Amino acid sequence: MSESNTDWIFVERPAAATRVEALKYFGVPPSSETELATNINTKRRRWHSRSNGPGGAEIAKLVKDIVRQLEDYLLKGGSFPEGVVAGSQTQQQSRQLPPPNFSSIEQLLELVEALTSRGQYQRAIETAREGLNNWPESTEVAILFSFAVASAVGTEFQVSNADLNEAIRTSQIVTQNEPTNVTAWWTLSTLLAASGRHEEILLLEAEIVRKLGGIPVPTLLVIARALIRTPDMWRGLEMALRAVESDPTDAGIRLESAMIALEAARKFLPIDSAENVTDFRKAVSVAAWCAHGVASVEVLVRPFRMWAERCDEKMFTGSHRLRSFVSILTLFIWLPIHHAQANKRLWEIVFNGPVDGQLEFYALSEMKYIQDVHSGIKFMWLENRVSWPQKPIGVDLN
Amino acid sequence: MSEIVGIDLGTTNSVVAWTDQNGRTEIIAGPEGSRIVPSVVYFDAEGGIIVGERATQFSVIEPTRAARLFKRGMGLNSFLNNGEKFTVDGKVWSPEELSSLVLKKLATHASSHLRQEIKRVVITVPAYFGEPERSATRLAGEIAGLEVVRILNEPTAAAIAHGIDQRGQQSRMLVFDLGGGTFDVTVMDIASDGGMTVVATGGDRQLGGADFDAMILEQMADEIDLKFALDLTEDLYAFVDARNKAEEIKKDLSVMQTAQRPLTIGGKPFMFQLSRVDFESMIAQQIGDIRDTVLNTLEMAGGGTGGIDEVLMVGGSSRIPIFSSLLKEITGKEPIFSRNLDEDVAKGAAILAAKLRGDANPQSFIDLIPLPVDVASHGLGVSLLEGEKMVNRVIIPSGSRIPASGEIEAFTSTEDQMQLQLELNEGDEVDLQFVRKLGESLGNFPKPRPMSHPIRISMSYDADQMIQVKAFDGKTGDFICEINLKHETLLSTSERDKARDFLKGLDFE
Repeated sequence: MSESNTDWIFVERPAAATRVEALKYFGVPPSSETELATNINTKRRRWHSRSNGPGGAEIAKLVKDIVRQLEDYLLKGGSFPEGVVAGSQTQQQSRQLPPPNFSSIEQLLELVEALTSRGQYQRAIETAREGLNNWPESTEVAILFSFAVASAVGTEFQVSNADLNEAIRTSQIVTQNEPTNVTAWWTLSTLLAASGRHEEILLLEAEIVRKLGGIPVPTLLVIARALIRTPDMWRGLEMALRAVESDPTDAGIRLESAMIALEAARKFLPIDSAENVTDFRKAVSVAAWCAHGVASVEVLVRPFRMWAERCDEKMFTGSHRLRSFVSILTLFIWLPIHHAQANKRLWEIVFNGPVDGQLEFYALSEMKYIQDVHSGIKFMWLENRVSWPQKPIGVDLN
Repeated sequence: MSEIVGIDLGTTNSVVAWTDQNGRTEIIAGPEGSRIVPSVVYFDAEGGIIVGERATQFSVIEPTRAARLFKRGMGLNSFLNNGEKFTVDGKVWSPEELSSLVLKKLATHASSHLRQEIKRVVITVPAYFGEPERSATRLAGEIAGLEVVRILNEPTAAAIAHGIDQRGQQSRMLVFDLGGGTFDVTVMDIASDGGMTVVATGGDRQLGGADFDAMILEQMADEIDLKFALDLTEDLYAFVDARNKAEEIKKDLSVMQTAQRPLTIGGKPFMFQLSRVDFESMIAQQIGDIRDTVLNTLEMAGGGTGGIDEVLMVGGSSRIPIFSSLLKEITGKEPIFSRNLDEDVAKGAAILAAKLRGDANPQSFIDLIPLPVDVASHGLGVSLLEGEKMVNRVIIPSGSRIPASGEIEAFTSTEDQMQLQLELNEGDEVDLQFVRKLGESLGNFPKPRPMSHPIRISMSYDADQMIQVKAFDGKTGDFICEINLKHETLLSTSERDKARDFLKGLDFE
């Protein structure tokens, strides 16, 4: 069997909630349906083995559970399990979607929760709004509506401004009426962040501490991200660190905090001064600390660490031939002056871009991590270009 | 000659044994006559520490002051299901410290029985334990003031006790070890001279008899809820009593078709009854997992399901009849049961201890048994960039005989590379998600190296379980950096010293 024929074994979730995708998840095709039971066994055993390995047991157990649920669906005539499809947020036990009609708040809660967990945000928001019309006095339903909108924020679903504003207003009322409701504060801060109202989030900080005695981690991360987008950026980084310190074993918190720190680091790109070098390094070191121990996050931070380490190194950009000639001519008196003029920092070379007759920029731009770090960063020399300039044809950089 | 005893440090029960120069092995009982010491520690309100049977009894009255199943957390921060640290009166107790209390108690029994202070021990661990868990076990011995002469795999110990090594015939054996808290399946090759080599191991650190007890307990709680509308978990005394009875019912079901026990909840009596059929359907998922583990291990060993000559059942929970049927179905062989399921592992450890002591009677069988060959239970590798992705490149694969060593060539990934980050991983998977990082080190090249410049990475894993990884410049041979990992544990040196001093002052009866 070729390598690609066994790739399906390592796929963690089916692509969609259909029988065809469930079969594909077990390698049918390329295998025929008569081999389905064997393939299910092979996949289940592989992930079972991973679930007892030295690392990644949690993920492996989750996938093993998905395999079991899909085995029931395909071989025992069960219904397609919920929350197992790629991109879905929950993947626990198979759960039937509650009926679309609701006659009690409990039913409404169950329905909206199920819809958001399946990624059906439009229906979730509409259903929650219907609930809001039915029970306008209920705080629980008000939170539910704001929660449905906040859950959709940051996903591919486009939340309308009208929904966003309505949800903000609703959660503001809830936080006034129920100041100890943790979900309401998270919802409000998330919605304000989605609307770009960062200054208002910062005003929330003191209020949350006053009402709750501290800031819960999910809200702390929302505030940290908001701070990054204000002049009070370093306090945002402090908050990201605090979030990690609250539970250093939580890979999710480490990922979110590291991403916040990288967003801060990108604010200093492109580096155009020695001061920027220091700040960039500081932000990257926070990202590295947050990512520590989580391999998948460390990989994301690594290019930034490499650039932080090297950006301030010097590179000779003058002419070697001229240097030797003039040095001998001036009995080496001119050499230190020439070096001071011709030695440039790596960040300077990248910032100045390609210069006619000089190849140092091209040598640096061939280093993939430098391009990765500067992806999406605007340089003067990059204007109107889609990609970084290639080295001139026929030139050997070595 | 200072004595060495063998200790089976189990998840639910522990046993100490000693073998004399002539090969006669005895299980050492405590002063109260009990040969098996429950791995339970109870901390009383006056600061006293009780280990064993009495701790189990006290745990019924004050369950929050008692620790059990802590072996499952060896090498980790916590052994509790909720991930929290076990704390009594403000002091956090790590699994290593709790295990050291059990070891200290067993060593005290042995010292008083043999009339000399026991300072050296052989301790058994599940074959599937990785490096951090083995190191944590060594540390537990160290805290108890004991020199751990050797860490021995439980299936190997069981095979030694069973005399598998003395039959003079070559065979391949599957050892099925289902204990109170861990499950191990091992395929071993027995040479005609008795030499034993582990070919493949598989297992589950979180599966054992205690899980079956928990499922029976859950059924009890459901029935109580249905009948009396009462929550069993809210009545701590009733809960602990029910937990003990769940274990008794499980044991009964190994020999009977139906078992029952009286329970008391909210002052009302309730007779709980369970049939073997219902019990087996209750644990169907675990049976499926065990089946998968056995098949995976046989696949790793090569030779398929038909290549097994014998099946040896070890561990208290292997008495559950469905497992012997399962093994017979898979291998076609009638499983044989270890002579004494609860004591044979300690006996095997004691026999090896006598061998290591070096004073065996040349006429005895001890002199004839070869030392078992240790193999790496998991692969060891380093993180490398392959294409766009960081991956784990295995240098010493699982199953390699220890001492083992290996070498690979890697290359610099950027132009003018100045530094090299070395990361040591445990696991045979390529995907870093499924391995465990054991250590890291950062080194500098003497001068910048161009892209694709060769780097030589060598790794060694010695009999003392020390892992050493070194990186050299592939062209000049210059040393770049290294990782030395010897018994890394989560406890700091000062914490270890503190724990050791504390235990010195403890006096067990």
